[in-house]
Amino acid sequence: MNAIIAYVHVLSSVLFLAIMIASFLWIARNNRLRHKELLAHTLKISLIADGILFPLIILIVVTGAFMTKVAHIPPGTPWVNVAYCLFFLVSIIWFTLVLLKIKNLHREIFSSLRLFYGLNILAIMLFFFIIHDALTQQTWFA
Amino acid sequence: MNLFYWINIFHVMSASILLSALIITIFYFTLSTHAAFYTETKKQIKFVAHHLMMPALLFQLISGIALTLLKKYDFGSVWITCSFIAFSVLLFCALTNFLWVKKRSAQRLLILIECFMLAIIFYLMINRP
Repeated sequence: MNAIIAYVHVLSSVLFLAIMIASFLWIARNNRLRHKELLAHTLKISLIADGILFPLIILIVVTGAFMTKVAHIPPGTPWVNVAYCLFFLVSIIWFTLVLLKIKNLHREIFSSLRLFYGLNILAIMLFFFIIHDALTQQTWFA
Repeated sequence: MNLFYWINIFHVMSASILLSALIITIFYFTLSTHAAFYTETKKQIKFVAHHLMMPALLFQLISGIALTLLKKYDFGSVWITCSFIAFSVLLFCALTNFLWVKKRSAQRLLILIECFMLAIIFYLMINRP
């Protein structure tokens, strides 16, 4: 049972990061063609992928909490707290990105492109720190 | 922090990049139904394969071997042998998909096999049966 939970946790985490990167690159590349129909299709597919990300967020938190309990990791452990905070930040960024995509759904060119790039890069960096903390069971932030 | 953890972190990151390349390819398949973007789609899929998927596959292979050596795992153990076989199938499917296969249905099937192989590799890595 524990092995299955760990499997689901790792698989959903990697899938979460992969969908974030894929959506980012997909929108960034297609936006260059400056075609209204293409951008609308791109954003629509990306929003469908975001529909997969929402249950993944819940799954990652639930399986993560279960794994810390099974491994007898005390609740106040610095790296666990930092990982929760960073993941909360990533989720907020993801939600902001969804709003940005909805805002641009019927436009020819993606507006607030710098914000979109910045938030995506920040989310990927934060995820890198979460992976670092989870693998080393240490954190740079506490 | 020791070398093992850094290689492990980049092994996981490159797995994400590999999976993201697969997802982008799936995204582009949805676009290929639009006749106006068909040529562009083919161009972009090639770009993703050359600049994202192949480097990620190469990095996965190198870091996987490095991790096995650093952790002194037995190369003959069942889970390592099986994951190398699954990885070889994944590599073969990726190469076949981008270099030779032209039929869209065959490309979709190969991508499905690639995703399945990735899931098997993850299972073997975590459970080490």
